[in-house]
Amino acid sequence: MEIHSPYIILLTIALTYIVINYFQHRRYNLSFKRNSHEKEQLLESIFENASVGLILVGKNADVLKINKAALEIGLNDDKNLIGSQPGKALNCIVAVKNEKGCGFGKECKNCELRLSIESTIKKGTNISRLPLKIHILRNNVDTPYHILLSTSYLETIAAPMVLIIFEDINALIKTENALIDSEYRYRQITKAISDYVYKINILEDGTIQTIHTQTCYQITGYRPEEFDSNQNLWFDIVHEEDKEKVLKFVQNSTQNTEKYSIEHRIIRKDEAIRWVTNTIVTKKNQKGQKWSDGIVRDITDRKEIEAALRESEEKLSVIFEYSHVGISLIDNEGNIQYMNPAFCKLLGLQPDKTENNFRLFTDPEDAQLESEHFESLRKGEVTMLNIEKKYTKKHGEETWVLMQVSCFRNYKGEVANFIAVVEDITERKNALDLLRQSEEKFRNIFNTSNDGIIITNFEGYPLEANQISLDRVGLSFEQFKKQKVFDYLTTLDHSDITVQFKNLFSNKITVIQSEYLNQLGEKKYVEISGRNINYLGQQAALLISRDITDRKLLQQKILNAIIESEEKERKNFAQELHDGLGPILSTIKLYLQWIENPTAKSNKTELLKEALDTVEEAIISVKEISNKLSPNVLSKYGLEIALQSFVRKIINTKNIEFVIDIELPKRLSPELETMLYRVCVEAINNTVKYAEATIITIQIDTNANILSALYLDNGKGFDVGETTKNKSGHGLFNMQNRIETYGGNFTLNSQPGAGMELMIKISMH
Amino acid sequence: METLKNKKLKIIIVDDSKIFRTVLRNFLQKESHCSIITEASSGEEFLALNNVKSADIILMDLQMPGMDGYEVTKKAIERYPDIKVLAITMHTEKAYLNELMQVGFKGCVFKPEIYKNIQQALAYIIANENCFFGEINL
Repeated sequence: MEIHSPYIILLTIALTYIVINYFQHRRYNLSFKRNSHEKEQLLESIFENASVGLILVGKNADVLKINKAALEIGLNDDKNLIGSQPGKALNCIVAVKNEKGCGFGKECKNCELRLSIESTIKKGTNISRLPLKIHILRNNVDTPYHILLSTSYLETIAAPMVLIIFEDINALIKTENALIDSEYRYRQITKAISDYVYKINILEDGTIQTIHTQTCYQITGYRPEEFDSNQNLWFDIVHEEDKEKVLKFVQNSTQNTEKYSIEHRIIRKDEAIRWVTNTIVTKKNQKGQKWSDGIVRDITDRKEIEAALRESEEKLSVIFEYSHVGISLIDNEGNIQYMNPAFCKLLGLQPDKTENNFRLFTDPEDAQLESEHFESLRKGEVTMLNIEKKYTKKHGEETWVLMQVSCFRNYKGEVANFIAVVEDITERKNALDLLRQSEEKFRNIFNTSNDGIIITNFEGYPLEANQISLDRVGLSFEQFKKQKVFDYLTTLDHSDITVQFKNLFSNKITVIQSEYLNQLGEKKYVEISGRNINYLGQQAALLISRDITDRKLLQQKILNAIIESEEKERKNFAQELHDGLGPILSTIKLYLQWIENPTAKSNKTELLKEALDTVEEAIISVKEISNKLSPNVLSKYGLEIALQSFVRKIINTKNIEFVIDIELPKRLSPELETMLYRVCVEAINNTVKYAEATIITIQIDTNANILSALYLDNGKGFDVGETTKNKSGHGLFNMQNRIETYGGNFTLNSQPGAGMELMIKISMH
Repeated sequence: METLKNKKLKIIIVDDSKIFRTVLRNFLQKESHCSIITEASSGEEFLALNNVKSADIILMDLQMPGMDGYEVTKKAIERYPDIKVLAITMHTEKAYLNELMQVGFKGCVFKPEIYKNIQQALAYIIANENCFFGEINL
């Protein structure tokens, strides 16, 4: 609001003029001295009584003269309203705070009042009615004070002066504010009025005349005059679909004196569809004249909100009904107020039962903790609870659920309802359990395996090792992992192992045999099979090391036995040559030497005959030895004939009956024939030597590529366990070795007094 | 040789080789003025004889099935300390020789050299001297 009082402007100009003239005349124009006293008095009076504050200051802003109005602003402190004494001027707020303000001190350098006056004093710039808001203390209260400031630089002979003019505009400001307020309120009120009133006169001929008030324009877009000129307009603007309804409504409401209301649509002049409520009250005067007052209110906003609400409700309701997660609304006592079908299904509840209480499904062990959780939710310490819990359904089935609980609060901030969203995580839990079980199972295998299991990185440093791996070298894992695994191996050629280890990472399965020293320093043999695996996202080697020390030792023992038995046979033949053939040849030599040096007593012819007989003997002996070394008859006629030939020699000297039953569809391989022949001969020799048997039975046949051989004697038998332990079991061990090196199966049964049974089974493949 | 001419030496032959026994008997009886009073084909058979003491010299094969010559001789000497046993063997190694002396053999002849050495050996032993021809072959 403009404050422009012409009076004040005129007064100010006049005053300025008067003051300037006054000083000029008083000091310099003595020719006017005669009238000066009168003028001075007049001016003094004007100055003193002016309604605007006037202050005359010197060059140092020292107050030279001040009028009443100005003093009032400065609470009547005449010395330093604006002055050089700090902390006093105008009782300004800065001054009170730190005793240094104003007086053009440092603290006041941003004070607009000061800046303005200062600029006039220093530069001679006049200021005209500058609106300022200053803060001054009135009764020790910080009071904003509105003024208009004008300054006037006065050039005098002695010293320049500045006239400062304050106009107090506080009252005006207040009035203006009040006006702004009231204007605003009025505007709000007019804005808020969306109803308009109309009047229906029912004429004698029954026709209807409507009179619309001004506000009809805001709702319908038509002015009252338009309704006046077109009496059907009120009906024309009704939405097509609502016309019938409205017509009926008007007929009803104008006939009865009750209050009728209807909601319908109208087409506004700008063609916008608006929802309105139309209320009609029909009255009758004493003369029997009827008229109706109608009120139309625009309810489009409400309708829109309602529709949006309905839509949102529908959406929520669909979510609620068809969600696969369980949703329930729970009151403060834990009673379930609403629950969706998924919730019922999840917890096995009947949807119609209202006595369902949430606490019924909580395990008693969890109850305490759970109620604490709810309490912290209620207090707002947490905004949502995430609880994983196990429910037991009514028929005993266990269900794992993840429950998320949050709460609704009323306007007071109190909890109105809890909302629990429950999800079935049984499958996930079960999967997790299975995973844990499987992990446990593999961990078990890992830890209890008889084989060493080691996982190494690309370079061969151990990442994991099971206990047996560590026990073998007697180290803790911390110590074990400091060295590459193959550095524990004592095999000389490490480069080969390194190559094999690298191969492993190109998807080759590697198997190596090597040796290491155990914690006692004993040499142990291992077979290490390796393959590459993905271990925790990195390429790694899985190494399984099997202790094959026993196997190696057994192999060595078998080899030794084979060597030993060969050695023994060689020794036998050596002895046979030496002791059997030796004497015969010695005899021949003697005869020949004798013949060479005949004496009277010797008969040369006789000696020659003896010598020839002995040579014949030597030939037979050589044949025998040769046949023992490699039975000629075996290679020529096969197993059965060879055995019978061997047996025949025994029958000549021993009283043993042989039953030999060999049924083979064709000749066996030479190796197998020899092996079986040797085993049989060895067995027969054993029986003859030790068993005192009378019958020996040998049966050999084949069935489905399996060769079965059975050897029986009815001798005195022996303790198998005892015999195999001592040296006399050597022959047995020998037989067993021959068969097992051929991949066959050797079973020996015997006990003292019960003969002996030997079963051999060999695959023919 | 004097002795040989005066009186026939009574000999027992112990050897498992019949052929060898036969040739030895023929040779000694015809060429060496000896009388073979008994032959035994094994040590056991020899030890069972009752005329051992009547033999002047016993010719003992060392390698025989069953009890070998060493063992038989050891037992025989225990029983008849005065008997004189000459080893007849295919083995000529020194180790055997030492053992032969320890057991109490009076001499040793290598079978292939019997024609050459037997007479001398018999003569030495009858004269109470040892005669180990095996040494020659060492």
